[in-house]
Amino acid sequence: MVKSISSLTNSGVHDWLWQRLSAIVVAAYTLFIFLFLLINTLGSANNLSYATWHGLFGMLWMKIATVIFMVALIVHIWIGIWTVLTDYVHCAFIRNTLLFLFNIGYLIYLIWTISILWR
Amino acid sequence: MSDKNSNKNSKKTINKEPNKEPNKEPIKKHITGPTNIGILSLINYQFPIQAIVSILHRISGVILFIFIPIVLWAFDNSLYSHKTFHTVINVFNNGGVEFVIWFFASMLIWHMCAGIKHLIMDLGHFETKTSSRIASYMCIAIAAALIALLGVWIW
Repeated sequence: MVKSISSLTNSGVHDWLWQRLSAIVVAAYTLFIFLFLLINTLGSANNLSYATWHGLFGMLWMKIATVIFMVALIVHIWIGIWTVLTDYVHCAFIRNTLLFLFNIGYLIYLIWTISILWR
Repeated sequence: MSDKNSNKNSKKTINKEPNKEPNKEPIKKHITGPTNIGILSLINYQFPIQAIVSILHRISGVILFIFIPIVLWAFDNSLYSHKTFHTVINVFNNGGVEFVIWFFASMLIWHMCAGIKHLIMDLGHFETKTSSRIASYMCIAIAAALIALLGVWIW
């Protein structure tokens, strides 16, 4: 069996599964945010107010949902970008350097998100 | 038994070998693995609709990835204070930025439509030549309608 150290789970089958599970989580959260914006900008409330927006992310369940979303998004991106880079960047040094830098980026995104939510 | 038979067969072929006249020049070189085609031959190649949907799914994914820091910046400022929230709203109401938001959300809609099609295909649907073509066209039609509605919402 071919194993890769730089892929998320080191296994093609597990990567395949995690890609789909994370996609469902990301899609569900995105649809929720989309519907929230749609409800709050259409009809009587023409513009989204700071109080409504801040109130939504002030609730604990929304904070937890956002962190779960961000982790799922990072899982999804990790596998997606790994697939794209292994397809097109053939020089191992450049590819692994890019993957390493991106992985640091994902960590920053997660820390950034948590710091926004619990400020 | 079968092993013995195969041994006999192989012995026979070995015995026959010396009788054969060796080819002086091999007519065709035997290809042992996948080979690359010339990149320029792709220019005149008619891609099937399934391939176009697939590559656009990939391209939209990479574009969405590039947008993440911008979205996080907007998310950060939208929650920091009343003042920064309105800064974000003012930036978003700018004509050029509205187009960028429409482009980003279009990529998101496209990536989701093609992704949901992908998940349905994982369950074993749209796997024939005809049905996969229909699914691809349906995916394009649904995404195009949603992107048009998005434009109505923004402007």
